[in-house]
Amino acid sequence: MKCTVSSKEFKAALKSVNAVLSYGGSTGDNPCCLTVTEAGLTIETARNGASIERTLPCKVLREGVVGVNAAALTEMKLSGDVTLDVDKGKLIARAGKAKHEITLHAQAAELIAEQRVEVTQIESKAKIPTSMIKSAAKCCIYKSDVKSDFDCQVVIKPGVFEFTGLDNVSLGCFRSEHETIKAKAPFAFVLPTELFSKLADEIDGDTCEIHFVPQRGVVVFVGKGYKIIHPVIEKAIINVQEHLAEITEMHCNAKLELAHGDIKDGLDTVTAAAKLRNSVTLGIKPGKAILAAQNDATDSRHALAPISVEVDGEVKLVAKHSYLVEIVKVSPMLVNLQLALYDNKFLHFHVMAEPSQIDYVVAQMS
Amino acid sequence: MSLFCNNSVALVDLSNIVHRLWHIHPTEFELNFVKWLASIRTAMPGRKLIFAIEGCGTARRREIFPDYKMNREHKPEIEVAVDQAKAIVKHCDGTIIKAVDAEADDAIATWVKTAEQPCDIIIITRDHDLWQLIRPGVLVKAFAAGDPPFIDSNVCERVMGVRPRHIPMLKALLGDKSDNIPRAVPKLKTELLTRLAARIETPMELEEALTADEFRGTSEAILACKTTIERNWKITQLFQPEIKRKQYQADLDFFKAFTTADIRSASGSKL
Repeated sequence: MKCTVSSKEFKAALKSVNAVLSYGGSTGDNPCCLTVTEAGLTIETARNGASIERTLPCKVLREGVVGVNAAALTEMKLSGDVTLDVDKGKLIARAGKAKHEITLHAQAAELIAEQRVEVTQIESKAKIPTSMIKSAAKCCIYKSDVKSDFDCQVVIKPGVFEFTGLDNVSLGCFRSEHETIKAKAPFAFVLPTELFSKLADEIDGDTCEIHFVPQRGVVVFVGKGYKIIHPVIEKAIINVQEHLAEITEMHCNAKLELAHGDIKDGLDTVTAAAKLRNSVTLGIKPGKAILAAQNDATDSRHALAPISVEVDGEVKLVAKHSYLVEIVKVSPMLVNLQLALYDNKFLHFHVMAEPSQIDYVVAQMS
Repeated sequence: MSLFCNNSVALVDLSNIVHRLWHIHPTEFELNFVKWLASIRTAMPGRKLIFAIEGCGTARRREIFPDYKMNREHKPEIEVAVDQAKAIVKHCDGTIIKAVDAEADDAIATWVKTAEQPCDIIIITRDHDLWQLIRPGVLVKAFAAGDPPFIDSNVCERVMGVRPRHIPMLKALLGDKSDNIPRAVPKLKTELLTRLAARIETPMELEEALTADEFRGTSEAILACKTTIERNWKITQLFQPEIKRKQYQADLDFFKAFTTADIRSASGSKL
């Protein structure tokens, strides 16, 4: 095989290949197949039921297939256009003055086939605008230390797409209702966050087809130039809208509207003091809101400048600092945050970003 | 406070975790155990912690098979480590469960099988025996290098070749060196026996399963070992003994003896 491909696109595809190969921890053997056909250069790998096939546009010089070690490919320093060629049992990558030779991996195709889940019976199908999936993943996957018990729950109904990142004490729910969301019947699944957060960037083009195969424990994301087979976890599907409704029907102790930058600055101010106990106090009085954090040595406070405040006397909420930081970090920057405290237990953030809405809930620290 | 399911728990197979941690670094066991606890607390916020400890457990299985777990070297240091771990978990906001006349695995089985629905249970163990408890709402947190972070029935099938309910049958056929359970059918290949285990849940189904074409020529050898298969299967079954439970409140002062720097490095815990 021989082809010329953009190093930028090649490296991006390798990043996803490595994400799949590290699913469940690296075993040291990182098989990856490169196939050159008229359609382009396809990079493929599989591990623990997760797999990716990414086809990149390339200048085809000679069709063919080779197996290589993905780690060796990733370590190459490349820029500009890369020419990949096979000669004397080695893959030769040339980019400008650089030349790398990588030994071929004879068992790559076989190892990939062993790890790949064959998808035959698709139970449910949907077509979702790619931008919606990307926004949902960006706004609802927190990247803090909470993620090992943090899952992504996806609920698809005709005209409705709901993506929720959640653990036992917080959730971020992106919900969109739009005619471009095509599904014949409702279905739902739970994705392990760690892998999906790394692969969401690969979802490309205008729309993405989602095929759910519960018998094999996978969901398939298919679009122009990519096919991702992603494992799902057998967890109970939570009716997030019902939970949100239960919370917002509780007694509302305080409501305030804040500019995104204001709460971000506040959380930055109290970071040092909040670090030890990972806790922050939000105190709300008529016309005022103060973020505070204390430890034995430091007491930091930040007076927020709320756009509006409604409060029953005076209220205080203790929440995990890391959660608030993560939520503010992933929520859309240009939209104000509507905060409400319900039953002195739940802090609720609401963001309208037409045609979607995003809700975040953090439970009071016990 | 849990946002969703009030029955959201992490069930820790305490002896199993203690053994692993003790073998990583015997002299720093206490500190490593506290680090490990901190890492679990951070990774699973809002989950109730349930620690299953050993009762006087092996007697029931030794009645069936006297050599059960007889390969295990008695190490008084590990008993000390287990006592240290029990003392530490009493300072957590958790519950200790114990089946007086059974093993920790059996206590876990009782908890899982009698849990109110809907439940959201994560079993923390390195013991494959407990994979037989996996079902919707019950997952196992994996520790083996190369396994995905959580084991559900699909992952179990990919890793072991059988669904969770077939695990006792698989162990009955293949044996388990760690528990000193011998392989029931020594001369046949693991792949073939795994395919057999994937078809049946009890030894009573053996004859019918062996009529399949793929077992032609081997069925006689397998049936000749039926008594051993039945015995192994009885040993690998988790039963549901009565369990005693004791709940403890968090005592943060206790953990002040361990510096913040120690706890903060918990993410590097080898478990």
